[in-house]
This record gives sequence, structure tokens and C-alpha cells, in this order.
Amino acid sequence: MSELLLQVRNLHVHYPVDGGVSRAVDGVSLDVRRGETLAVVGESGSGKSQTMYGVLGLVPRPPGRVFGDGAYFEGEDLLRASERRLRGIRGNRIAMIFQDPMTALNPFLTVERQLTEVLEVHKGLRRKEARNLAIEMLAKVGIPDPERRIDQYPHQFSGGMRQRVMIAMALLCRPSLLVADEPTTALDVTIQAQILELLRATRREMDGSIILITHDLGVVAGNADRIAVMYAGRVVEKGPSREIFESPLHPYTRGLLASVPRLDAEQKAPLVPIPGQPPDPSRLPSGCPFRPRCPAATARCAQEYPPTRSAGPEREVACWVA
Amino acid sequence: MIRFVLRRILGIFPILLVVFTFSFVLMRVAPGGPFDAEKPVPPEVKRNLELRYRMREPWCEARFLPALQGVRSPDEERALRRASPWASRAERVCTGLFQYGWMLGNYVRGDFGPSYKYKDRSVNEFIRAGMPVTLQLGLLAVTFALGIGLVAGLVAAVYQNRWPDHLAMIAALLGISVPNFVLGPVLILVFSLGLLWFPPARWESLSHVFLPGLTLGSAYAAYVARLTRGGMLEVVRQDFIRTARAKGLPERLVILRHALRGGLLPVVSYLGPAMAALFTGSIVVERIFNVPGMGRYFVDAAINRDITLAMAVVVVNAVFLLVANLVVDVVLGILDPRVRYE
Ligand SMILES: Nc1ncnc2c1ncn2[C@@H]1O[C@H](COP(=O)(O)OP(=O)(O)OP(=O)(O)O)[C@@H](O)[C@H]1O
Ligand SMILES: [Mg+2]
Repeated sequence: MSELLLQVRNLHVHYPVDGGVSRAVDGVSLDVRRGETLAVVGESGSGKSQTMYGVLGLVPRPPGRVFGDGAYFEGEDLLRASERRLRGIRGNRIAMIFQDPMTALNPFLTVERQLTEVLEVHKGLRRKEARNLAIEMLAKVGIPDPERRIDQYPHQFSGGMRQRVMIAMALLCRPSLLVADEPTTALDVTIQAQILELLRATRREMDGSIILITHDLGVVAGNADRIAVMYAGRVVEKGPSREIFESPLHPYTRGLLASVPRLDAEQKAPLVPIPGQPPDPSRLPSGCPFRPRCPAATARCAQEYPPTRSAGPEREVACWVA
Repeated sequence: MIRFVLRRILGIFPILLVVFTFSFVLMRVAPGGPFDAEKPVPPEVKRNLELRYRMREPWCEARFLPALQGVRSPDEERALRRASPWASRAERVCTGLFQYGWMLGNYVRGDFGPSYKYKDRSVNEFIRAGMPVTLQLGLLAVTFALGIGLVAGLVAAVYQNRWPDHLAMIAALLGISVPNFVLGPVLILVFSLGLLWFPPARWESLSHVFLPGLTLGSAYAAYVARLTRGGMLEVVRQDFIRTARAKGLPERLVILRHALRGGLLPVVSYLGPAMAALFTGSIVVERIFNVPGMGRYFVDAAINRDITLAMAVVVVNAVFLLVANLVVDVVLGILDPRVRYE
């Protein structure tokens, strides 16, 4: 049993657009170890979600195009797996929860229908057995009175409860990898903390790995073992969570850290947002895509994309000046 | 839910009263009467007819324009009315009110009164003869519209921008743009006269219903196909469809279980008015296939100034429209749990 649960190598997700191609994901490599939480961090549009869609075969094809050197999950390359094989893995070995539990649950179907179908499809259970397991799971994620509430529709749940339903749905088959795509972005702060606590408890219990996708470094602190920072479809910095927070190398990471209120440490400097906008992935600037916004950019940054280099035992960074 | 339906059924009656009143007023105000016949009848006969159909009310005449009671010829009456226009108008309104009350009373008892044109037949007889024909035809047309339209729309959505989609949408465009008076004869040519599969006209057996039903339903099928396609494509973009795929559901379940309900909402909303229109008959299709349905009564009644028949057709159509809309609202509520009945 390898220590690495998921190994993504040089993943690309491209979409054709007018007069060119949008490089939503442009050569991403990631490792997820068993039992750890990897946070994928970056501004909106940096390709965090698309990376996971690419791995899981959720990119609409056509128009999208997915290619790369591989995405090995438990030793199997998902980029080359058949659609049928991927369906057997999705929702079963790798489960995903989404940002907005308001729209991610089907408003036309009862919670029961949406939970039991997962077990029917992946475990071949009959509806009755599946229902009992689903009720158990709802209780486990903290939904009171699950026998009654399971027959309700999503609109009868509050936002936080809905996200709990989503989490219950994802955990039904005891996946070894849970992908949480901005699981708290749409929720109130107090509910956010509850959901994050639930995710932590979940990981302890299911003994699996979590990929926590977020644009909010405040959510990452205390919740992730390692961090991968994405910008314009690439990973610009990778490393253990603590090290990234304490000594960020990439100017973009530094900018991100300066722009979020820290929950774990006293605020040293005033909050400064990164100036400018992330580039359109169909019109990337030459050289380093962060260069136009970078305070430390040099002439070289405009010419060549910086290669990813090792910066310590577990750290990588892609920057000419760092 | 039951209370909602009951309340809505009760709500139908005031609307019907408005429809009834409105069409009554229109009929009264429109110039010309049913007995302004081409060949004049003797004044006494005309007066007796008008009394029978409550076009004249002796009490009103006595009250406002007593001289009318002695009048014998239309010319005399016209001269008299011109001489005292206000009294004449008052007499008309008074008579109208009496007639209104009389007809309303009849309607409440389910009696649409005598036909003005065909004096030996009641309006109820016409409706009893025409309505089953129109209902059968309409039902078949709805079946075609749904059967063909849903399948075509679903296939088009699933194969968006590929040839099944293009094929279905071209067919839909044809279905909408080819008028029934072209489609009907073409179908007769091909299926009756060419292939000898169906009889070309008349109304005797189920096979007689087929071609007119197809003709009548084709445009509706085309609309249903387009609405289904649009609705499905709209739903398929939603987050919860991505969730369904992320759960590893087979595509069949993603489409039929997760997308179809939401995708059908626009079709269901459209079906209300569509069914009401189908069940009121189509003069074109009825003429082409020589079908004895309601559509031609409607036109005949309007041409003949047959007030009772025309009003009955209007009111019956209104009933269909209101009931169809009620059914649509109930079905929408069944499809979409977020809909609240109140
Ligand atoms: N169908 C598509 N066609 C063209 N470009 C697309 C398409 N889908 C996504 N993209 C591009 O992919 C880029 C990355 O999107 P992605 O959703 O992965 O960002 P993200 O990092 O998850 O951001 P967010 O925080 O907003 O979720 C977007 O900027 C968008 O331009
Ligand atoms: Mg995203």
C-alpha cells in the first residue's frame, strides 16, 4: 500500500474559446497522502475546481479537453480510465462536496432519494437497507431527528444543515478521498466553524484523506497538513501548512497571506489586498502569469515561465525571485 | 392540497360569471340581430320570435317606450326609436338586463337555451354532439404532442448540437411553420390516398381520428419538443446535475431522475393553454377532414349571430381553460416540491 493516495502529474484542462484556448488547468501536479488534508488555495478562477473535475472525469467533453501525465488514485490512472470505471470511483472511493449546498442538492428529490441512490448504485443495496444506513449517516453528521427529516426536501433544511446532508451523502460509501470544494464559502461564520469541525471529525473517523479547496487562507489554518497554492491554472507553491504560513516564498502566497485576517496569530500588518485581477486563462501574459501584479517582478519574469524547484525537504516553489 | 384544489374550483365560478357577462355584453352591443334574416318574416312572426328569445321584454316596452308594442314593421320601429333616442336606449338596457337574468338562470341550471338560428334545436344538443368529437380529437392531438414532443426534445437535449438535435429541431421548425391546411392535405395524400393506411375523412372509427389528430397535434408537438429541449438544457447546467455526476450515477439516472422533472416544468406550464386550445376544436382541421366537432359551431354561430350558441361555446371554452390551468398548477406542485399551495 503506497503512502500516496492520489498523485496528479502535469494535468491540463483546456477549453476552446474564441480565437484560442482557455488553460483553466495548465500543468498541475499534486500529491495527497493517506490520512492527510491537502488544502488547495487560490483566488477565484485559478483552476482549483477544474483540477478536481479533470481528475474525476467531470469536465464536460466536448468542449473541454483533459490530458496530462497521469492522475493515479490507489495506483490506477484516472486520466486513462473508462467512463464506466470512473463512475464506479466517483461517489464511492472519491466523494465530492460543493460550495453552495443550496444549489448542489436536487430541489426536486427528497433527501432520502438523493442519499439512498448512492448506496443503490455503488453497493447494490436495496432501498430499505440503504435508507437505514442513510438515517444513521445523517445522525452521524449531526442532523437531529433524521428518521423524519430524511423524507423532506432540501429547501426544508437550513444552509448549514444542507451542507451536513451533502457531507453525509459523500461519506455514505466510506470514501478514501473526500474533495471539499469551498465547503464553507456560502455559509455564515458560525456555521462555517461547525462544518469545519465536522470535516475534521470526519477525517479522524474515516481515516481517509481530504482535499480542501478554498480561496480563504483563514479556513486553511488549523485544518490542513499541507497547502498547494494555485495561480492561473498552475501550482505556484507547495509545502507543509505551518511552513507556508510562517515563511511563504512566492510573492503571490505572501500577498494572499497579507490579504486575509489570520485566525491563529495576532495581526501584525494591516490587511492589504493583492492589486489587480487574476489573468483570463485564455489570454495569459508571457512568462510568469503573476508578473503583472507582482511587486518583485524582474525582466526575466516576463520572458520565461519559472520552473518548479525544490525549496527545502517538502517544499516547492515556481518563482524566479523567491 | 385538497383544500387548494377546492378553493381553486370555487374560484372558477366568479371568473366564469365575468366571462359570461363580458361575452353577453359584446353580443348585445354588436350591431345586427339573429332575426335580421335575408328573407324578411312577417312582423308578427318576428315579434313572437323575439319575445320567445327575450329580445323583447313587454314590461320594459310598457315602461319606457309603450308605442313599440303597437309597432308592426322594422321601418316603423326605426322611426319611433329615432324620435325618442333616450327612451329607446333605456328600453334596450332594460330588455338586456332581463335577458341577462334569464340566460344566467338557464346557465346555472346547465341549460344553454335554444339556438337562435336552428330554432328546433337547443344549444345543449349541439354541444352534446360536437364536444365528444372535439374531445377525442383533442386528446389524440395532446397524446401526439406529448409523445412525439417529449421524446424529440429529450433526444435533442441529450445530443445537443449533434445530428439528432439538428434533425429534431428542423422537424420542430417545420411542425411550427407548416400550417395545418397544408399539412392536413399532405397527410391525406400520403397516408390515405397513397398508402391507404387511414381513411381521408369522416368520423366513424378510431382510424378516422388518426390523421386529424396528427395534423392538429403537430404544431403542439413541435412546441413541446422545443420547450423540453430548452428546459432540459437549462437544468443540465445546474449544480445539482454536477453533484449527480460526482456521485457516480449512470447517465440514465442523471437525466431521467435528476434532470427530467425540472426540465419538464416549462412544458407543463405550456400544456394548460395548449390543452384548452386543443379541446375547443379547430375549424381548419375539422373542415379538411370533415370532422363534426365544436370548431365549426363556433364559426357558424359567430357568422349567424347565433347569440346563445356563441356564448355557450365561449363559456365552455373558458371552463376548459380554467380547468386545464388548475390541472397544470396541481401537476407543477407534484413535480416541484418547492411550490406552496395557499
Ligand atoms: N466551460 C468552460 N469554458 C471555458 N473556460 C472555462 C470553462 N469552465 C471553466 N473555465 C475556466 O476555468 C477557470 C478556472 O475555473 P475554476 O472553477 O476551476 O476556478 P476556481 O479556482 O475553482 O475558482 P472559484 O473560487 O471561483 O471556484 C475559470 O477562470 C474559467 O475561465
Ligand atoms: Mg471552484
